[in-house]
Amino acid sequence: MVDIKALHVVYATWCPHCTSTTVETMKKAAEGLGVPCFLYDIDNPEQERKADQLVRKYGDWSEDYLVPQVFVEMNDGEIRHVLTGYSEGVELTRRAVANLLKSPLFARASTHG
Amino acid sequence: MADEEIRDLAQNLLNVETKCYGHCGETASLERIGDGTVSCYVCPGRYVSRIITYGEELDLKRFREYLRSITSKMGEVEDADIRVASRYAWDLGLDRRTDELVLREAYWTQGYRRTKSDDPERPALFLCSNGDSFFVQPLSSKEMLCQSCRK
Repeated sequence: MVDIKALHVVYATWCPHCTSTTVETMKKAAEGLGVPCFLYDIDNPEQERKADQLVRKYGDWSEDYLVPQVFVEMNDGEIRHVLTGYSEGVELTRRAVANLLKSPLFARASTHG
Repeated sequence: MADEEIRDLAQNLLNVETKCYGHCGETASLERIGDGTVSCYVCPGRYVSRIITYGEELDLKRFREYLRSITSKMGEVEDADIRVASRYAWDLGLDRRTDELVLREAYWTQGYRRTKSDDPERPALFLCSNGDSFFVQPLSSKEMLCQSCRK
């Protein structure tokens, strides 16, 4: 069984899709799973470098990419991009985060974590 | 996945009313353009706040050229103005293999790099209230018809 090893969230402090909608929810999810949640603020130069690497390699990369972006690191080393915020509206991002947490990936991890 | 299925998913799952950013602050609604692989958010004054294209694979070069063709009087559309997103079955809440990539979206947001202090007479993109034609006019203009429909 491959389980979740860590969550990674690329975000911005000014982004309404990020802070309460995604970051806080993913932090709680990580706490529930007993795994770390790594946060990358794109306005912090050092964290931005790491965010860029994650997004470029695994996520929805564009020069001025969308935030938030959520990645799940599995204990076999695989990193999966699992969510990008919805420019259509915060409501859709909130729905997507809720759906993600109900998905088998998280449900399974919460069972085995 | 068939284009029609992607268009239906976009219409059903990616369709919310939003605020008209950079123009009036009124409600903006999603409108399909042409065959529906492109949609845009338009306010009651017909200002286009965002244009979105959908597909299993996105042809970003083609999308950029399309944007340039409709915004020609407004200046260049840069690569950085287009941002992409992957949508999976799990975040869309679809009952299928949950980690399946269902579709991708590319967004262009009008005035994304501008500030509120910018010229209110700057050229801006509007959608004709008679159909699918985009037209450019000063941001403060109240005209809702493209030039062809005004004749």
